[in-house]
Amino acid sequence: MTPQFTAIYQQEFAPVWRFLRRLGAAEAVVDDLCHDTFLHAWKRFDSFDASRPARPWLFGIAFRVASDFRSLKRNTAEHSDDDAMARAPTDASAGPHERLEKREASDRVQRALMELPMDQRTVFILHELEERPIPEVAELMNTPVPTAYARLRTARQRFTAAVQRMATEGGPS
Amino acid sequence: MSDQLEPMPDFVQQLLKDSREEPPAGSMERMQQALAISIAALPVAAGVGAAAPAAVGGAAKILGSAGGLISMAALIAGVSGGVYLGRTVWAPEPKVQERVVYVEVPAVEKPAATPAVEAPTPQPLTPDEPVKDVPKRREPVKVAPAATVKPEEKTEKSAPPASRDEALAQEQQLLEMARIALLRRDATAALTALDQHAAKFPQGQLAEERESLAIQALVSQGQKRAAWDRAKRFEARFPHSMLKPNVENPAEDELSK
Repeated sequence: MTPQFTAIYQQEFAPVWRFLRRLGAAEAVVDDLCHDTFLHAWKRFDSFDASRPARPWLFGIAFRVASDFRSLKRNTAEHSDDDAMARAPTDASAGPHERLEKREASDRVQRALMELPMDQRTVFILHELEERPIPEVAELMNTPVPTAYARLRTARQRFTAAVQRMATEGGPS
Repeated sequence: MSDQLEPMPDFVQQLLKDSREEPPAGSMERMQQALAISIAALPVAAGVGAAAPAAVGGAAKILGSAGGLISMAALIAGVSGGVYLGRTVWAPEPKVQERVVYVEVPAVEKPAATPAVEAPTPQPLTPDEPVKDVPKRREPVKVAPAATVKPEEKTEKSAPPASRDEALAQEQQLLEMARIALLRRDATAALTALDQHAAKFPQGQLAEERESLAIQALVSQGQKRAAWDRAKRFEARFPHSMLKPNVENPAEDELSK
């Protein structure tokens, strides 16, 4: 790997990993999808505009990798929530209580995300969790900006409803 | 338009803030190693466009400057990009007819303007040919089909280009199975795939990568002595391998525990 690509890899590995995980990649495959994302990024590195930030470009690749993976009906966590929830957040500096709280929060978010269709989930993750602006999200998903806003609006409503329902039911964890 | 969106309730926003998940410790470094191996094993001209071969060559030079030789003796272009390592997440890309072989040249600086195709009488290497005593480095050289490949050349006599491509694809597939199994900490499955590779391609183009992975699998399985022995054999067989750090440190660390 060139130093430039290595630097991008080291800076963007965690966001790409998180993005794929939130999209629904199970613990068993998230590393593979991450690997594929960066491998395809390497193959297309000649087309990368170095004057622009790498993260949206990588998210776009990761989104396509995840979409293709799902279309092949390989093992995603969309209908296997237990698998998707298997890994707790790994913050070694946090105490046991804090780690448990983070795990429960992460589980609730993941379960609520899994109730969203893939397109809405992607917009929601990119905008609400990764804090990407909607025009950028629309570009990397190759959709018009108004469509991305419409998906975000619906996704917010459904996500909020799911979280509220979980709270009423006493939570999944 | 963003202003038209109703804000989410505070408790939802707080939940999102609290739910941030991070990759497991060490996964970035582990994946970086796997990625470096995958990139090194990529067919050089497999649908990447003009820059990738140069980039791979650049990576090879970096590794070479660290004291190692390029692990792959010959990377044959022409393997369809879409079948890389048995995965089909991307559409197949056009086949490239051009071959690239790695040749040993004396480790002296070449004039900057000298194109690779003018390298002095390259002699393709067999995958496991021992390194000679004179310090050398390997350079990628593009070779037009049938133009500069002489019939008596050793690497091309054994198999026609098409079967070499197929063999390389099969080798890559087996090693990728092992690599994925290792990432999943399934050393038994990894060793099974590596044993299959060893049985089918004992002197294969990726034998060096196979041995490196096997040592890592043995270490993760707790077979410290076997890992150590195999690491020693690896060192003897591939004394200038760029994969040496991958096999030395784990074997030594585990054995010293």
